[in-house]
Amino acid sequence: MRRLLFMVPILILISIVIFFLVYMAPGGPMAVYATNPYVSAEELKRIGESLGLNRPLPIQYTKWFLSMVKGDWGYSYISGRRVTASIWERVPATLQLTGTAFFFTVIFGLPLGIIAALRRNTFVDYLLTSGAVVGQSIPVFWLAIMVILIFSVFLKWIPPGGISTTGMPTNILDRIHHLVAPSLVLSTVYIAIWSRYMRSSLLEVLRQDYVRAARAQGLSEFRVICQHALRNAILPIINLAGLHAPFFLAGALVTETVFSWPGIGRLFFDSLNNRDYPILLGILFIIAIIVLMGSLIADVLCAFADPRISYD
Amino acid sequence: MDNELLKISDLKVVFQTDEGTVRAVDGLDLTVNEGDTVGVVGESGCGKSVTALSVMRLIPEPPGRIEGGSIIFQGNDLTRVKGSEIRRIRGNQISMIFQEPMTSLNPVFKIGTLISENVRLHMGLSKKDANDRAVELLKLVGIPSPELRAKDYPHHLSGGMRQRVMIAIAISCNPKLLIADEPTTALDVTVQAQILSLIQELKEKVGTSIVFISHNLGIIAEIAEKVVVMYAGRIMEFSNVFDLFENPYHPYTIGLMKSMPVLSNTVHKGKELYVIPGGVPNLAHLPGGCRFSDRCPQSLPVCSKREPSLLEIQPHHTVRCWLFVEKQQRENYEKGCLSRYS
Amino acid sequence: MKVRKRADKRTEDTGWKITWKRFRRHKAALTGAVCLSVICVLCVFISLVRMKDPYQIDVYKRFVVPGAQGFIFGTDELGRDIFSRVFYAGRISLAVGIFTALISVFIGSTFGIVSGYYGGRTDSAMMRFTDVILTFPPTFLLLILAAFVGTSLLSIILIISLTRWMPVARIVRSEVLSLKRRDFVVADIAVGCSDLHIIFKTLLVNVMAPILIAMTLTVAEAILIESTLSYLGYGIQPPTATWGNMLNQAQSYFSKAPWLAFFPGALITITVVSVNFIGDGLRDSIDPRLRNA
Repeated sequence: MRRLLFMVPILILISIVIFFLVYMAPGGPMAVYATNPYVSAEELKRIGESLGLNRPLPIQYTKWFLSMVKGDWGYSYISGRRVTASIWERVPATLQLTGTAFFFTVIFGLPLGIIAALRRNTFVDYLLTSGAVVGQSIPVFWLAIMVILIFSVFLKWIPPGGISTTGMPTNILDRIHHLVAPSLVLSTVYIAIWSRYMRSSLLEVLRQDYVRAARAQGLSEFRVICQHALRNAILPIINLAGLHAPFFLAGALVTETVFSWPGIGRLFFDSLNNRDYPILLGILFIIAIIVLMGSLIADVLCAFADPRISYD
Repeated sequence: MDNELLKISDLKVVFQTDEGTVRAVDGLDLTVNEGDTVGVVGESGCGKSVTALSVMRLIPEPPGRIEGGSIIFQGNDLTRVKGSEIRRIRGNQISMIFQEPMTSLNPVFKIGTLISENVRLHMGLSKKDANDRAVELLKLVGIPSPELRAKDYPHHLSGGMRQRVMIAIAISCNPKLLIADEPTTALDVTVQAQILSLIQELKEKVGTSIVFISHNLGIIAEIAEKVVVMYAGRIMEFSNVFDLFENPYHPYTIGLMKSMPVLSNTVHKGKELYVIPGGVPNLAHLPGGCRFSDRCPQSLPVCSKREPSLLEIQPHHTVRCWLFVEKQQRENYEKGCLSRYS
Repeated sequence: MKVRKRADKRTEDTGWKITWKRFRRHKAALTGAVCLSVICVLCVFISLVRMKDPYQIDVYKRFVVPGAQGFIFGTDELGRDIFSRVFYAGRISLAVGIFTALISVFIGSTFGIVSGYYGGRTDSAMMRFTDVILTFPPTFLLLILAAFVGTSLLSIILIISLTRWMPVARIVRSEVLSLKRRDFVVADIAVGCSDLHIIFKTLLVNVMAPILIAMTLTVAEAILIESTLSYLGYGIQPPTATWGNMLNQAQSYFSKAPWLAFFPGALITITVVSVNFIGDGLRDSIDPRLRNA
């Protein structure tokens, strides 16, 4: 409970930072209009007043924060639509992408890490660990480009991007067809990271006395590992999941951009190019909330899973 | 005629390390009879824990390996039986309790679960029966309010209580042999005494034989009936506890006893506490000859050249030391040694 | 009574010698070190190695396939030699990597040392702050910063450093916390050494090793981040070549000249992998216990 209360001031702090970042930018929110030669100086002033931009900054900030909290996130400079609507309509696409990526991360990353730990210092281990290093080192956008180049342009196995084929009615198979490449690309880095984490966590647990004690009781190796060891090894992974939550949920920016995926990340990038500040602020605000919620949820989950942690 | 329960013959355990092959146990013979309490004493690194772990084949296989010898238990050689067989024996007929009660219990399981798991595994009891047995065992080891404690997690208990829980798990299936690897070393002195008396009490009740490992001579004196003194992977002296303390033969044993602080205002007055000079040898680079020779205050020239064998100088009292071998024989060995290399 | 001195087979090496010995045995780290050195050498001495000017535009030689006409990596849409461009670009990326690492290590160490040494409320407050920034996806932050602070080499280095000092701070702080309790520090305090003195003499020396490891990993991250930013158009701007913006321009010519997209990215990957392997090797050599081996 105390954590929730702590979160509020932190949220305010972050939002202040975000706000100032965006509004302090050279050119400011008026940049879009100021660079437009067809807008006269008078009109500029008028627009500025209507947007409330001539008030002192702290007032602007407070007004903005309060309206954010109330749910009024303003209107896009470009499309004129409500920010909340613009963001909300992109959420499903991003969730599909990141959800699938998360799924892949769990079903590939964890077992690979476990195998590497159990076959420690063998060829398999070296292979997996080196592979993980490579996986962490490949720039996501380049991997995406290469995948598109090889599998789409040359082999024509998958579509080059987008969430579905234009003109076609909504079709599960078609959607899966479009989903495979981006989600695998996105998950690559995380599979690499999670497998290394799992490996080191499991190795750490296997060194513990209670694992040896479990063997001394006559439990089969399978039970020792699955019941006794993994139950403990999984705890840091839960923590990691909470840490990665914001990345999963929103950080797919690069992947979405390369694959032309209509998600939140792509929206952010486009808005950045267009200097559409309300949308930028809105997305950053969401990310801030996800960041805080992510670590909170991870802590709660850890408290559930680990009897040594008590939650107040 | 005593019944032989466990007979270790010529046990050799090695470890592969960066610095070479470490011969942790090098030709160890030990017999435990039914009803015995055998104490194994020695400095850290002398191989006592490794011996204990080898009995249950708990030596981690990648760096370690049982290189040779046999461990006969109830007619089977434990070094050669199948995995499923050794698992049947572990926790069931031979049990082990470890040194660190703080870390030897899995922190994510309740105490009751840890005990009942063992019972269900080996005795096939139902969940309810196993839980009842767990509570029974907790009572047996002297834990108050056992029904409540069974639902606790290990971190709720103190070190002494955790050790009792470990003991409860160990005796849950009425093992024939209990190996206790320094069970009291990590505990306070008062708790130590409690655990020791608990172990002795349980021995009467359950009828297990005990192998008690410690580096503390005082504890060995209190609990053991027979004593094995180990050094650098070898047995240096073996006897029953009274003879050993009254009449130690091996210079190492003598050194150990001399270095025990005594509560008295005359014994140590004005003198430094005795310390065996030097340190335990690097098991990867052992000196030739007797392993204790470089620290031994009574070493002879032959000591650094050849290792003596275990000799029975009195009934049931064996020593591995050149001092107790006839002078003529020593010279023969020396000559034999020289001629081999000239 | 004679106590014979045991001839010690192990020579008493200094800490760094042992580290180097162990590092040598780590195959991956060695491979990484070799690769990285090759790349560095090529980058630094590229002007001597290749005769072709990376900026020279030659419209008669557009889209030459790699290997043909003496262009090892081919040419791009303006006829520029990819091989030279790639290694000129490498200079920028490596420079960004190294300087970012240095600056973020500086910021992070200061933060970590102050936080760990003074402890208490200062520590918790600082650590919470660090955690929050750490979990914020850096891409978003950096894009905004780059869009508004500018995209010169210096600003890129600075803004990346601003998002990468946290891991260093945490490592340093935990080292400081554990060292604080060690006897020799307590002894220093008991004798009355000033805070600064303790910090510099004892703590810094011991903290050096984890910092070094953190630094190598930061170099790797910084290179990746810079190339991502440049690719998105918010990093170093053309005509200055950097691996990221080369890939950006390569996108328009996918089917015509796929090699344009391959080489810069491959080089990023190889460089980052090499740095990571070196970092791993360092970590294993300095403290094998960390490896769970």
